[in-house]
Amino acid sequence: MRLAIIGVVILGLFLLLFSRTDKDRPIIFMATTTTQDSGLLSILIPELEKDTGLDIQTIAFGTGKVLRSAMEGNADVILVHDPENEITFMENGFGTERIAVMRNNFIIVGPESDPAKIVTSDNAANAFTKIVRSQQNFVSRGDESGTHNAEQKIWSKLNVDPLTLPAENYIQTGAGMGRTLNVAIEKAAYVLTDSATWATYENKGDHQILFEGDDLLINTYHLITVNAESHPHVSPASQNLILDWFQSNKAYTTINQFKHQGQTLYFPIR
Amino acid sequence: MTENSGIFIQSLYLIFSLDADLMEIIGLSLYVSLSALFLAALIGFPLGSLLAIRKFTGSKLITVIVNAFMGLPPVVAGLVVYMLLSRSGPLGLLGLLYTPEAMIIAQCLLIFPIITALSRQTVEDMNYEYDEFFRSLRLSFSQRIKTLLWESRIGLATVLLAGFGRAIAEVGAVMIVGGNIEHSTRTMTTSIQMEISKGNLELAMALGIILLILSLGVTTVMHMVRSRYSTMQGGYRNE
Repeated sequence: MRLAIIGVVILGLFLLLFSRTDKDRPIIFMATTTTQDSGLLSILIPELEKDTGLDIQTIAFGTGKVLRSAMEGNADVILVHDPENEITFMENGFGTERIAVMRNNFIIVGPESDPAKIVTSDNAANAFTKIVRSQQNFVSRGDESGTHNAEQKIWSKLNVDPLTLPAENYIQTGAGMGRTLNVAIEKAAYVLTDSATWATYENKGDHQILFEGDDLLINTYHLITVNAESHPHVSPASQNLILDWFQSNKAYTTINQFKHQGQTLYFPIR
Repeated sequence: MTENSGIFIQSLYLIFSLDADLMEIIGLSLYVSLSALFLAALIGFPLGSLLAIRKFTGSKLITVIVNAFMGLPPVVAGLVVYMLLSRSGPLGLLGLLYTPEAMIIAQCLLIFPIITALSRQTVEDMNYEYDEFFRSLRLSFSQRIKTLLWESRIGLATVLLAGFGRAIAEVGAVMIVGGNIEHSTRTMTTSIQMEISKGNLELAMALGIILLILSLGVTTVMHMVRSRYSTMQGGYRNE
């Protein structure tokens, strides 16, 4: 038993040795997986670090997980794309500032042959109806991410609960955008994704963009600073540096000039 | 077939070009898993031998629990450490979440039961074999543990290998508590997962091959050490 106690004490000492003071702690910048998978973060963050002199570490999770982590104080600044949940987040006092940074579009991607003939749809809801009517497969993120919630909005406009669809037609992956796309391609299924992830995604198979251009399909990214009052380790000064930078011309041009094969992926918002 | 050989060449190219980012990722993977292994062995070996030699109240229960935790899913280990180290958790003040140290703690939690349970088994067998001999020498308890650990070192090396294999290969726990931060907590397995989600399946496979080669290298080294010792020992034990 004495050995066990000594072991626990040693483990405790290691913990103390590892622990960091808040001063030398880097800023945790948490963003959605889409911004990492498209490569935006690896362009944006080095510029941000250079201009503000801050030490920034980026972590990418789905928006749902990012918001949850931010509530618990595990992030300083977050970049997310789920307006409804963001507003709830702000109303509950978890964040201090929320600014629109950039936007792009959600698109519906599917097999080239387009068995549900959604190419000729008038709007996104119409395209979804066609997919359901023709009993084609649809792959959903199913992970409470921004993209997943955008998809839910379209279903609710149709008054359709996708969970009542046959399970072999409505496939929920519970995974990030890229892995969900992998599933959609294997299953020759339709899927809702964002234009930036799709443009940079390497494993397209014979899938292509079949529907785009609907107000419901606008994808807006907001930057939110985590409430420093409820989390004393968060430094408001560093947060403000980041907020100011994202509103600067430098951020505008960096985002605007981030292109993949000549195509602009995100449109900055002033 | 041509595509597959392309992947293999790409992984070889990645290794021999000594890409700085790749070296950093490999280094971090080894640092995290070896530290976790060291910590787990530091507690696991003594606890394992204690359980093997002494029967005390609750020792059976501990043995059963430790055995059951050998099957602990990495994501659960990660979740437990996440909740402990989260800012709103009991150890939140340490500010350890999303650091390599958090990953060490999670992996340590994951492999500590394996080290303890397997070393208990190894030492128990050894103890059974030498029991009368120890009695005749009237060894003290701590001398007995020391002798047993030393005599079972070959078996214990295999135990370490099992622990290391589990640590270096897992992705669930390090993803949750590390967060796959570039230049900070990005390991081999988390970068493989990230490349898969980017659709870079070839690069992911190349990284997978490198991980395999790495693991093969560590195993080979330990195997060589092991066979050297076992021939030496075989010599004087005259088996």
